[in-house]
Amino acid sequence: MTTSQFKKSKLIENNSQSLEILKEKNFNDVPLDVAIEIFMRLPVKSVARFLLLSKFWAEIIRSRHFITSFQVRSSLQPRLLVVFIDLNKQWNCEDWYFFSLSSSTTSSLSRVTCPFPDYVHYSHYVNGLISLGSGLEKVITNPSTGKSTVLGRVQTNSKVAKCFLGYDPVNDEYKLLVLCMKEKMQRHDGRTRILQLSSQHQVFPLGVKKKPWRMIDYTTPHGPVLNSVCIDGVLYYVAFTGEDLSQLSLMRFDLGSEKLDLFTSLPADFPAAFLHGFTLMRYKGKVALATKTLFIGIEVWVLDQQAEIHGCLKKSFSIIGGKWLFCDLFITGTTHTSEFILAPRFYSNRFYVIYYNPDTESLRKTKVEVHGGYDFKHRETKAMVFSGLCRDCSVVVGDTVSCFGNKD
Amino acid sequence: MSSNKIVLTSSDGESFQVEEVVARKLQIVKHLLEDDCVINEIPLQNVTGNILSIVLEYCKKHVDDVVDDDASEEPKKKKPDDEAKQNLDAWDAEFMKNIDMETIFKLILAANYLNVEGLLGLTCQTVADYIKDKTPEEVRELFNIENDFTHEEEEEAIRKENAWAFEADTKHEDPKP
Repeated sequence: MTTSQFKKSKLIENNSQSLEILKEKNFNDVPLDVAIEIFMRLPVKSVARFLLLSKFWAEIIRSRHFITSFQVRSSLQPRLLVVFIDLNKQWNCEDWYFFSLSSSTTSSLSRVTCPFPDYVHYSHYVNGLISLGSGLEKVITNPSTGKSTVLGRVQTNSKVAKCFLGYDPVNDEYKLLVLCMKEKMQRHDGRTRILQLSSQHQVFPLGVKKKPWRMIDYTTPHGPVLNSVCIDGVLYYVAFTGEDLSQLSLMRFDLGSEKLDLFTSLPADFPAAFLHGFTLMRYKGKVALATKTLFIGIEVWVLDQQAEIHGCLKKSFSIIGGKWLFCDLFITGTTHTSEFILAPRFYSNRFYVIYYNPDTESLRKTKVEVHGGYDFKHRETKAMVFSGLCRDCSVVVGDTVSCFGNKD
Repeated sequence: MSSNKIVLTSSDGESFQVEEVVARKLQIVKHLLEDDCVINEIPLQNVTGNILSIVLEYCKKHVDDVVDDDASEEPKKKKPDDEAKQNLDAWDAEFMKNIDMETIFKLILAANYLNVEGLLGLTCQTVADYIKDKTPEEVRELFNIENDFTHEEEEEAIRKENAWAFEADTKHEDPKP
């Protein structure tokens, strides 16, 4: 066989004849550790398929060594989870399309249909699982595999509930904090306000260990707003507290002890009028509220949840350059290197995700290229971007609860 | 460090004269030079001239790469900026595209033996990309792996449990519940 024939065999890749040629040339000369180096660079889907190669290979892939190396490799390539939500009015459901975005490529992960459309969409992506659906009926999905579990309807008389998904790394458990809401009319200074306050506080554990949902000890009604953030096994969220629900505070729910309490009040100069432009997120390990400001900047209020004195620090950043891009972008979170992630809220064929590094004051951007004739491309489709997408390896090991579980 | 030239000789007698800094990209050479003895010619038993020339082409291009564990006394090279990195990545992609799969496998073995880290990663990634969409049957052919699963073990246990992995990535039509 001449060199030119081999060159040709590479070009007609799907030609089985070429495989025959290649087989004769003893590719099994490749030593095992090198073969493992190759396998570690495969996407999870391929690795799961190759469990079928042989018993020996299944053992290798399931070995602690392989899985650890695989996880380490994927954590070196931080990726974002990009979600497009297509509302299907006819069938009263939503299609959630999951994509992974690395520094240069967009790949399709999976698609899940959610039968409980939710128009507000405070969705939480925590340790590999994302919560879909409206408050009382939730679907928990692993976007990497598309496997979902529908949770039973929350037992309550309320029509509305706010749910926050958290992960407790100590006990390796996912829990949902459910705040059932009711409305109350309040007369104040001759004006009537309608308050949305929590009436029941429940916790819903997920997973194999079928612990039942239960009420938690905290009973003080409060008005949760925005999203939640889960840091080191503790859920934080912002709420209106106090007798007349006028004081903005940060609430804290410890997932291990299932204790809910009011952590601290937000400072008086926090712009409550603009509250709904803020997103709660993790910034350099601390709880932070961030928003995009009018004059192309970012304002961050950082609350150090571990400090002795509960202080709040305000930081402002001015983004220079990229003004033309900035209008449709909103802050969605931070990367593990503390860059701010800005993304549009709706799909377009010029969907850019911007990363802003406040320490070096530099910007970089990646375009999300969705290949394929998806119908959502022609409609007004909501978009969400989350950081912390990891290649979930435990599904490869064949855990029974393969919907959950992202073991370290 | 002076710009020394070193001669590398392949198993089939082909000689290549390169700058010392390029030769040092081959960790196997770097270790030999560490002992401070003056070596001008190094025979490399397990690599043919054909493959060695490709390896050296890679090394020449990547001579300015920053290596984290570089214990040499040379002044730390400036970290390449994003654009330079993108150019290098583009060069790497083009470089791999022009090499057939059989040669890539030989390059993997050479990069492993000569310990050229960047090249090993690049070639392994190229092969991974080549096999990632292949069926298990095709990969068995390629690596000459014998299937020792029974039909039950294969169908029941693995395919069912990981059904999501066997679904094709097709275009999605309008959903129906």
